[in-house]
Amino acid sequence: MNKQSGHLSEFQIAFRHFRRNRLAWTGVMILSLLYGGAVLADFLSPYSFKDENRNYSYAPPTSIHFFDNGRLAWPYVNGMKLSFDEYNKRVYQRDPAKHYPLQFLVKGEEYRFLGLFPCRRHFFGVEAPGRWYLLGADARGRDMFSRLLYGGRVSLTIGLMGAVIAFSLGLIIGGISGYYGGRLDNFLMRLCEMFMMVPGFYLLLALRAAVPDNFNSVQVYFSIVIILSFIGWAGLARIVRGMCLSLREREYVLAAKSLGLSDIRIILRHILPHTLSYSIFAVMLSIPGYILGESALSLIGLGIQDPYASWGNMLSDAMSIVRIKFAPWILSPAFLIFLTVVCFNVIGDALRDCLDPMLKAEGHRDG
Amino acid sequence: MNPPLLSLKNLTVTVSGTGREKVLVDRIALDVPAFSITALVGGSGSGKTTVGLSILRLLPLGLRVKEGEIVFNQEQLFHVPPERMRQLRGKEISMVFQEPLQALNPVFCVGYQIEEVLRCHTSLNRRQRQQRILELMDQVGLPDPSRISRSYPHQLSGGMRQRVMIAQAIAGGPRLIIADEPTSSLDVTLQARIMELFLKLKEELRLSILLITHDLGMVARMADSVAVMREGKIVEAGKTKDVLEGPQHPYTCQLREAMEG
Repeated sequence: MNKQSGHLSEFQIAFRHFRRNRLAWTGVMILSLLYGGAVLADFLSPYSFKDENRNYSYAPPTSIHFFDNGRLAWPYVNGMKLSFDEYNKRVYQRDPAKHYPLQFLVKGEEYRFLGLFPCRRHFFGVEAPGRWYLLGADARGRDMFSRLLYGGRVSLTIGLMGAVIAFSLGLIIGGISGYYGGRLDNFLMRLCEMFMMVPGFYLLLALRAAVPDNFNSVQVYFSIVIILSFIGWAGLARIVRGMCLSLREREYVLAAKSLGLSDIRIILRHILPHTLSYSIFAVMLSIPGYILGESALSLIGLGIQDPYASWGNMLSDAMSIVRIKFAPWILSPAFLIFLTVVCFNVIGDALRDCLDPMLKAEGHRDG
Repeated sequence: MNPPLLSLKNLTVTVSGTGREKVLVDRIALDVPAFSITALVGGSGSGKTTVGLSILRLLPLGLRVKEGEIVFNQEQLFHVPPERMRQLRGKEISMVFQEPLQALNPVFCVGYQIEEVLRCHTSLNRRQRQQRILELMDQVGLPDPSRISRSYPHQLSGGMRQRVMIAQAIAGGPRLIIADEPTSSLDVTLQARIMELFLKLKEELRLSILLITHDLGMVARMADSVAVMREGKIVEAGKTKDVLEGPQHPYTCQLREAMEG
């Protein structure tokens, strides 16, 4: 803000501090890749999330070949022949007669690029009737890789949306409760405790049961967001309330009152900003909870319904040990959930380190 | 004679702690005539700040007005609804605090904090507000207003911060300013300059000032009338000249000796 005097704002100092943390920075990179993949899902994925082919049920990842009859060639894949062995188990064999070169910007199913203009080109793939599976196929022969990208749209955004809603609810309710105190405070805090008292997962199930089951996928998506944030706000509200109890005794709050500012303005402008550094990393650390919550709901079939993909409902296929044994790639969503959760936690921890007032002095030296 | 702008009658403030309640301000009466400076003098703990806060109805939790009334411009302050009271604060009565660093919010630049008052009490649009901020800052004697309005409180000196607070206090165009030890946190030369500023603003804006202080020297130079408070009671009151030259109460004598010594 004050370029000429060389002063850095508190957040600029924190940002510099944050950038020095390599682990957290790696986390940011990985998350941007994942989110980027989710945003560009229809372009990056070779197939649509519901493009199924029963002939390729649990097809393994297609191997890519670089040599054709001993000579270096443009990477290509072969067709696959399905047969059954003596135990009636599916066996996929390479069919050297069919030869499909890998192509960039290959023509495929039509979609709207970024939801704006229609487009048929996919980033890479093979021409029909060839089919290839980067990460194998699921039970209905749908491409796992494509479904992971589409599933990221649900799983990754649900965490953010849930966190944003819970964050605003928590700040506002905590702020009002701490600022006014008295009976209102008592009432709001008992309400918080009611939500915190019920074990989260059961509350999740109960609330989900209260939502009609004939909802379409968009409605289900939003009901999950609302349910998750409904559970999440209470913890933040309690802590913000505690901070407000102390902040409202500051003299600048008295000064603001003496100048006739409205209560809402005082809460939003003069009290809540001072709780931000805490609430930002609290929210960052709460995002994995929302992602896991969505996955858990979808895993047991209460969340996003087939054919729509989310990492959780893709995992419901992996609930049987036999399938994991013969098609281990169906566990790949679990790996992505794990990766996302770890990234958010690492970033949250790093944010706490650089926003924590106890470390301020160090932050200044770095800046 | 015109009725006084502000009139405190029989004001009693108590704190209800454990068991019996303690009286902080004991049945005091005080008039602040229009366009004058009235000083309320007393040592620490004599209840003078409590009087100031009870005029704005901003007493801290636990303190309450037990009896008495405050009449401001023919309005009974203890009977107006909260919303009206909020309008009065800043627009009719405003307060300048002792510690400007604590009374300014550290996370906003000072221009914004002056703008907030304009936003609440005037109908100026954004550009007019910016214009007005610069005028106000100029009026309180801040050099280079456009740069300082973008500074944060911790980047300014004590005197500048106090001037920013005064700019905030006059932004709503009030008729009465309660100045609660406005110079106690400043060094002596600055004290004199801030007091000059108050005198200047009083003339320019036709203000009345209720000056809460423990410094009789300042009272002698500025105030038209004075009330001496001790342990919650007003022990002596009258025209500044009369009180300082012929003090009746031993406590006033003590204060005077302290000033001369």
